[in-house]
Amino acid sequence: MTQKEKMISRGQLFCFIIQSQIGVGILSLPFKLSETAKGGGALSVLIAGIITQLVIILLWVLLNKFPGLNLFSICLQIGGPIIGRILIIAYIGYFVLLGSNVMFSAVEVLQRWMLQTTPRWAILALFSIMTLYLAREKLTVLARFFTLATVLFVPLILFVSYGLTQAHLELMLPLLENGFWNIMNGVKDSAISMYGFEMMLIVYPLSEGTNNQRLMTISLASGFVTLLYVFVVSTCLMVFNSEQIKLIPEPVIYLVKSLNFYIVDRADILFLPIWAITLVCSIVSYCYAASIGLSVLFKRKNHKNFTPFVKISTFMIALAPVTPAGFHLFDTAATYASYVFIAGLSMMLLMVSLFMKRKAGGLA
Amino acid sequence: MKFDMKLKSNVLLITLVSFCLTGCWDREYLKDLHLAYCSAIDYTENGEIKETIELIIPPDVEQTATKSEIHSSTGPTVRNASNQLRNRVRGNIRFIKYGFELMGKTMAEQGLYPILDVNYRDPSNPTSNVRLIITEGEASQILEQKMVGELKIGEFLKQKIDSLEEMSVFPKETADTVFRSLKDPGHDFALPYIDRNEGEIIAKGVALFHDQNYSGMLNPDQSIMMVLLMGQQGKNARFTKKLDLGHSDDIRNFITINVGSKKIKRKFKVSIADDESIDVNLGLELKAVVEEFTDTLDEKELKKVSQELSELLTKEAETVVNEIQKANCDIFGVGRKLIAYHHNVWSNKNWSEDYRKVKFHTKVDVKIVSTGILQ
Amino acid sequence: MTNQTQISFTTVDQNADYIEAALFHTNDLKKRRISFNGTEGILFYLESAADTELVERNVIAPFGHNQDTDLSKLFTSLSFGMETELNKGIQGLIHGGCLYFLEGMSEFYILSTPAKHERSISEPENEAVIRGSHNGFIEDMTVNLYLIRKQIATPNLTVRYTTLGKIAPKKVALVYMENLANPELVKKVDSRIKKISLDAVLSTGFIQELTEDNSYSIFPQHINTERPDHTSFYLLKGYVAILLDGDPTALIVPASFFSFYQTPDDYSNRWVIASFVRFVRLIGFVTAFQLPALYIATVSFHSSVLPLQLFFTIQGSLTRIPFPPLVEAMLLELIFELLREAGLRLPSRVGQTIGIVGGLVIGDAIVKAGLVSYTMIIVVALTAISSFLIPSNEMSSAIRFMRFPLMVAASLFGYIGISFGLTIIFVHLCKLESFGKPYLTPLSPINIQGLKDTFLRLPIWTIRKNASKSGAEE
Repeated sequence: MTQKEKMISRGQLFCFIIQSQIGVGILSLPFKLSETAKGGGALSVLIAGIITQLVIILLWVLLNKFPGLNLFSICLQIGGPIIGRILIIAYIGYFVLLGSNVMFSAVEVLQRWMLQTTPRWAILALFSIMTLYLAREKLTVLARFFTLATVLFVPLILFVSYGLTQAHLELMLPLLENGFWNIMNGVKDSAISMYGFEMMLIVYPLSEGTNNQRLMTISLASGFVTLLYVFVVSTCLMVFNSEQIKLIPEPVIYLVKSLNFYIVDRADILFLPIWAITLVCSIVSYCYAASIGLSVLFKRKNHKNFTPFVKISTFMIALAPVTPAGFHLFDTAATYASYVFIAGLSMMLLMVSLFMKRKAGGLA
Repeated sequence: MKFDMKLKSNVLLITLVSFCLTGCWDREYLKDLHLAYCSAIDYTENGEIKETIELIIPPDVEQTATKSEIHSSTGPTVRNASNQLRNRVRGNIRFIKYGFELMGKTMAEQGLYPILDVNYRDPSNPTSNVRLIITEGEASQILEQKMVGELKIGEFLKQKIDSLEEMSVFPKETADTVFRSLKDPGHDFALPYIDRNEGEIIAKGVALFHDQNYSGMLNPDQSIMMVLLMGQQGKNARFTKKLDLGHSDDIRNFITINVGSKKIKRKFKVSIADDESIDVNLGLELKAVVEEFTDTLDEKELKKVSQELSELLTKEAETVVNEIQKANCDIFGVGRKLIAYHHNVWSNKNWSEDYRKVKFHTKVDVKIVSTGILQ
Repeated sequence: MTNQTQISFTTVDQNADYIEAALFHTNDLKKRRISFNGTEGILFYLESAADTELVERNVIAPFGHNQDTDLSKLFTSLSFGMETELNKGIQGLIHGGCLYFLEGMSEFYILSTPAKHERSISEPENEAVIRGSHNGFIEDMTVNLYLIRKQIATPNLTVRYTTLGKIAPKKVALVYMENLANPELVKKVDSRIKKISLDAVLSTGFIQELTEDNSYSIFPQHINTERPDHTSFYLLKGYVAILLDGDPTALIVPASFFSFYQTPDDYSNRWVIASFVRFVRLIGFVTAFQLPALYIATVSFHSSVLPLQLFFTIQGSLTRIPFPPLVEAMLLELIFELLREAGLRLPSRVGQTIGIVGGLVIGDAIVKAGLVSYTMIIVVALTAISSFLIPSNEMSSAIRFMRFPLMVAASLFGYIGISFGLTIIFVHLCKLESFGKPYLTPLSPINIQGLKDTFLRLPIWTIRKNASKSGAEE
């Protein structure tokens, strides 16, 4: 690839971020929140959204320190060839882990709801092929597909909105039933479903617009996702009561299942295949990030040839857990990895870069 | 480009291989399915569950009517009983288009949740359009009747339930809404209550539930009032009342009104006194259409009749509420209101007992807005 | 072969020998000895390429009565030139010219007398419109260019000729609007055409395949049309047209997916109706490649989505069928493709018989025999009709082809399989570019202005506000 990679437009950046953010987490988010925040689940999501915005701003500051560079090149800049490489490898590991986690959870959901007897490797292979085919492509192609897939939110939102016909506001009240601290606990749960915005670390240098415009776009995307989550969570909390929701690990699908559309029965069967496509987008963005990381690591211009390796490793990792304990461990690992990598490491990079700047300024 | 080709052929290969490998993971051909449309659940004397189903058999020749078969079996759980059934009959019985579940009263008294659990747990079972019906006698007896006139029992029940819901006799409850109420400490439910009488299947009213147990019933007239008080409304809701108009022949004293065709205004307010006693104001404003009345009504009489009807219906509403309270069935969701708006009060209450102490103030206002095409 | 730049000889006979040898004494080469003012001369022409009557009237006849004037004045009624290189003369012969050699003269005359056996300008059969101009391209490029110039009478319309084919060269014209087309696009098209090194370019199909961005794709990446008005419509949007001499088809680039869903009729209809028609086509597109797959997935995986009555109806029709739905569908699709192909190659009257035999006899018998269910017949017939809704034949074939892999995917994984297949197809479409223009424009990358003329056909004043370089540039 000799010619320079094309930039993605702001609209595409918007779609890219929301597609990476919306993943499998939202399907079970109301369930997780009902354990902690109960009626105040929507508040938790809102707070998590605000925190996400703050993190986005911090990441943006970091990216602005190194214009035109993505996360991996920044690692090299800051850490030097050795530490930088270690950091890159760590980040690649993180992206692979998250990618396989999303893929794993997606397959779990599909197996539970639709393809009970199909073996896991088959569905995983299916997802792997789909994502491999896309993740090998240039960012512009990814962005185009993500834009296209954004159209699918219309039926998805419509399905969930139809659930409002069965909603009772009283089921969500009182908002602060479990107290403020549990709502904050819920924030932790909702934060998991917010992941994906860290893709900005990869795509930011490749998108058009001034710095402020790009920040605005990313914030808007994240804001859209937050509002969508608030909507979905509050719909679920208004349709199911708290005792009931404790029994239903995927309330969103259950909600869609329980709707009566008259022309088509069992809307969940239509809902899940559409949802699968948005999941593909999430997985693809992680795999893309990991392969970009590999290409920086090995100083290649093209990430195409690295994608199969990333894909194979995500496939293997997602295949590994077999017991519920394994699932849980896997989830926890992904959660903590996200804290460390998005918040922790990025902050550290930011600190170091600020320090470096000052040192450089002092010298001059 | 070369790599591209290799990849493509790999993808093709994988697809082909998986094509050959996939025997029949989740595939389930429509033509091989045997659909159970109705099921009836009872307890046998020795405590097992007896499940009776109506199996729909597709016709051999196209464009002819489907046939049905009735089978039953027993087992310790519902799923087990279904499996026993599968051993006995055509095998692949599926509940995917399941329409009804009939449950005997004796079973309902012991609690519905264990019976319904399988419906909610298995993703292939529908819940959105499944009706639950309580029968006075053994539920299986109703299914065993197999045909009612020209109709298969399942079709008959569907039409019956649909039309009675339209007449506001039965509240619109499906397996889903029941699931919600089952798990809601502040909300109970009522289900259609039917019985078999000399070969006919008749609606006996509604069965009231407390938590998951049958706790009482209302007759059809009362259930119309209950449905209206719940804030639901079918297309029709008819009452026939005897008025004190002083006519010598009895029939001229009766009036039939329909309040379901016009919009009903409902007032439902839960208030808490200082001593945490609970008052519920439940008011209905009904706009009635006179459907049968042998006398003419002028404006003055209209007012009088309206007045009288209001009194009669208020009285009826009071008895209905009494019955419901006696059955300890929080059908109006008073508890839910408490949870939502008076959470402190709720936590101090033991709702199974305190619900009976709630004071209801019911009031029904009837206003005749139309007398049909006659004056 | 002979020397490439053979200068004409001074004697007539030497020249005659050379030319006859160069054309391998082909029998349609006519040689007439006509002297001028006493000097010996020879006239050559190919009777298969030159207009013999014209030669007789305007070349040979003047010699009879105007022997004394200047030779050049004899041929004033024809366009002619003087040439010294014999091979250029031979080229002229092949293109229908006459050569006249005069004893002792170092130059010879090339007279343009090409035969014109052309069919008249008529409406292309497979692109008929209800309203709008009823003329179409023919096999002569000059006429085709004339037809375009008639539509766009402006100096900005630019034509660039290239010759392709090493053994049998043919002229190719690039046509574009100098002020509207993106210069980069023109350069790209030009360079790709110049890269073609074939012995012979028989039809535009060759050019199409050799200039495509992705030859492995099943989707057409050139718009092809035989309509001058359609061509001019695109030229005015900044597209580039490629014309080949001897082929009535114009290739227009860059193509996008949605350009295959537009017809010239859309713009002569009232916009609300045109939008409705576009919408119907969109439904046709979706059914054409999804319906069989959806049906297969439904009856073999997700019977529970069917409403109860439909469930029994379909189940009833399926009970006696011995095959799984995929086989059933493949069988019927195959029969349909057989009938279509058979009908296509036969004269229309026999074609009708095929339709009757295929549609009525086979259709009815195959159900009665219990090989295929009625519902499957409905599905396949609907699919077939929907696929004919697509104006472009190439796109229609692509879509018809696409449903087979989708059907397989559907029979493997049900709806998930379909969304898997669709993802692959749409990723491919996102990847595809036609001369640098993303194939799915204006849907993705999104372009609101373009969308007004994609799924809908909004009033023309809203679509064509600025006819600047928007079209081809994306």
